[in-house]
Amino acid sequence: MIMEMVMVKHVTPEFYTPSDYKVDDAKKLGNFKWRKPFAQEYIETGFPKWKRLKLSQISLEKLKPYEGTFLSGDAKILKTFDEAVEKNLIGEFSSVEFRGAHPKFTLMSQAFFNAGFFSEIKGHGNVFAHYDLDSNPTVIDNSIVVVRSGSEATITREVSGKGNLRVSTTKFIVEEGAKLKFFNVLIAPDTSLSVDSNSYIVKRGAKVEVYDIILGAERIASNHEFKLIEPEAKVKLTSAYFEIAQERADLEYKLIHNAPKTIGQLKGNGVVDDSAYVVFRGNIDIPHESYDVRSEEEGYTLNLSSKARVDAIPSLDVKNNMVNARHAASIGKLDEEKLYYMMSRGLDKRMAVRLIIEGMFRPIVDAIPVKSVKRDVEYGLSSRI
Amino acid sequence: MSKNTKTFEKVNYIVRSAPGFNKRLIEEISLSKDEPDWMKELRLKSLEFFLKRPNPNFGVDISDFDINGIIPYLKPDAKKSASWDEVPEEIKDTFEKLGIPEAERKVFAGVGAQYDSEVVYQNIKKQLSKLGVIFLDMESAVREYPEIVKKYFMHAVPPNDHKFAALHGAVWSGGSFVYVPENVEVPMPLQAYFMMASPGIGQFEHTLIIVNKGAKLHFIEGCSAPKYSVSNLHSGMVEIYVEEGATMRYSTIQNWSKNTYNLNTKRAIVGKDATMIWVSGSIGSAKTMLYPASILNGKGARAEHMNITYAGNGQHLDTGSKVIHLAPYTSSKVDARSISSDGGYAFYRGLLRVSKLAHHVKSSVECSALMMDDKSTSGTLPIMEIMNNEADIGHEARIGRIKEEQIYYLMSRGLSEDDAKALIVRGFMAPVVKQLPLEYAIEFNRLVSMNFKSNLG
Repeated sequence: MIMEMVMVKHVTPEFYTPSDYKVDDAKKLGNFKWRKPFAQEYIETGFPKWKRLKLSQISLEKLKPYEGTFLSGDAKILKTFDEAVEKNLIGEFSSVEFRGAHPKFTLMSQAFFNAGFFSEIKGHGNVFAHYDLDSNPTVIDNSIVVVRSGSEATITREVSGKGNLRVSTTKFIVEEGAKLKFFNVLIAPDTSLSVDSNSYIVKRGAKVEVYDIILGAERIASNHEFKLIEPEAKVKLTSAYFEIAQERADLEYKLIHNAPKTIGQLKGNGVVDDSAYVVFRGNIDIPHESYDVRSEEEGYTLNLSSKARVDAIPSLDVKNNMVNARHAASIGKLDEEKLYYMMSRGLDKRMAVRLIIEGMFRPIVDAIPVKSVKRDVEYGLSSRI
Repeated sequence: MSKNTKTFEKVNYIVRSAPGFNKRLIEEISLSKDEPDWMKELRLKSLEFFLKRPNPNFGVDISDFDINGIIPYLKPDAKKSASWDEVPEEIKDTFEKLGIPEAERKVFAGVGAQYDSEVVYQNIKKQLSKLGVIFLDMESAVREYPEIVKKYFMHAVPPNDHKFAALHGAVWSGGSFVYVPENVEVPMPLQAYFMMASPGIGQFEHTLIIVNKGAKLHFIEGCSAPKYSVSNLHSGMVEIYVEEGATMRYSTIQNWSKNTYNLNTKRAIVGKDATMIWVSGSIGSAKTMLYPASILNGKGARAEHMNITYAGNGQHLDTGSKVIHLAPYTSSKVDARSISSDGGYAFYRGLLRVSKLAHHVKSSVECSALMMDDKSTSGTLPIMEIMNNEADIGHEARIGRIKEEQIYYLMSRGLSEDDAKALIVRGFMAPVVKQLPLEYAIEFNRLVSMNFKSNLG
């Protein structure tokens, strides 16, 4: 008998809702020809029943084109996704497939997007996208970023305000020797659902640095999948989150080392308070042919409340022995000694807690290149403490 | 361990059930064991669950495995005996090759030996019986201590826990029952040895251990089977109740032959200030899914899990641990080590859950994996669910190889490359292996040396 050495794949149960978008809904948004095949696949796919996020139903609002502008910056090409489709700029990039948080949502982005952009960066480029949920309660964005060989790109994306639904799919292609810095900021308390899927193709010698900053939405799924497809590719992801009230967040970061001599690092630091619930998943995948890989993952969560919950689900899957892979996680409460020390210096408890949390976030906040975003994050943080 | 199948062919069987699982079979097993009605009902209820439940949606792939081809019940023609002389020669031969009677004479307080579906030998030292320690085969316990058995049997693991727990509940046969009265410290380990001797059979032994307040026990379980071309199934169950202030250590050496599917369930309920220690060594089987669990439901309860898994050619061993903290001031420590070599697949799967009410919990989970070559696979998935903020939780995992410098260093001291590798692997396993009884530790080390063609003794 031949015994297969494979793991049983977990199948996520699905649900359907009668109020779901139909193929025809994509018509109103323009570029129907481009959207149609995605829409057809979309209607065949169910929504994932996510246990940890307690997602078993969804309320969808009518689709509308995005009101206002959301895009600024300088790059060789920088267009809204709609414009890029009209001008035939997307081409082969659209065929880069990825699963994201769940196919239902990645398909939704492609079939029903009302925001998103296409950017090609050559030399230096800066892009800033700001989606305002207050005036656009449903934002579905679809974006592609191509950083050409040897170029440097800084992308900042902020999603803020109170809305209903935010679904996002972004593909990054980072070519040989290129550098990408991506600041991904979500400050959307009271928004019922945010599902954000990001895929990165990282080529030879390219460097990618991602900051995933999360300050609320009632339910959040954040997914970043890095494919290091050529040697010397390097990825560093820093995740910083602060969840309060009844908020739930499922954060999934995945390093796939598809080439030898690649380096990956996942780092998560966060705070939970009240009855919040955060799931931190870090997956490291090193296939057979990838020798000399270094990959590590580290997570620390500060829990401020006896009712809050933190799950850490780190996974390593290694098929080559010429590697170095590790993960570490710790979950704890405020360090009493630290607190006591600060209070003995005249700070009251609130101030001391504030200082400790600000200290955790400071290096990340300082790195944000757009002033208004930095301010929003600072404000978002202090209103949560 | 013996691979000589000739011995087994000589053994006669008085009951040999047809493959497949159905109501009639369950009724026959129950009748042949002269069981009370409540046990028959439990079996039938379990069968219902088994037929309804899907296969687990994680772990090893068992889709190729034809469970209906398994012979669920095979009763050798041998009465359970308390004297080694009365055990039929053919069966005695097998166990003697495994060193069972010798071991008993030397170091054990009691020994039970199971051949296929039934226990053929059970003995306990007299001074322990006098202290009130009960060590019996499970069937006799059902008849002789119905009140105790009924209170505990399949309460730690209910039949609807998962598909193979249900299967076990339906067709269990054999296993041990241990009852240690209050404040009795059993000075030497008790041992059970399981042998699957026939091709295509399923072994479903049930071990039920109750360690009363302030008592202490070390129980050792060993498993082996000769290799056949058809698959065998082992789906045993261990339920342990560690009462207030008691200490229980459960050591296992699993060395099933490489045609065995080992889908086993082990769970301990740990009371106030009690301690549960699991020491598990998995080296055999084709595919294993085994996650010993400790439910810490009394204040100050402690659990220690020490696992060592060695997956070689053709093996997929999915092992791990499960610790559920339900009470305050409970603590746990998990140290899981694995080695994958020659195309083997070792996977650590763990769950650590700290409930809302379990404040001031301390827990550390460490997994380390050593990969011997680039044909092998290693993985870890330690899930941590922490539901309050008065918990101190740490976790670390590492997957790597033996560093060349280490090998060179040892070679420069005169060791061959194989000896150097074997020595390093032994060093890696040592913290867990040294927790095993001496003869098992030696066996483990010998196995490593064999794998590396090393001559280290």
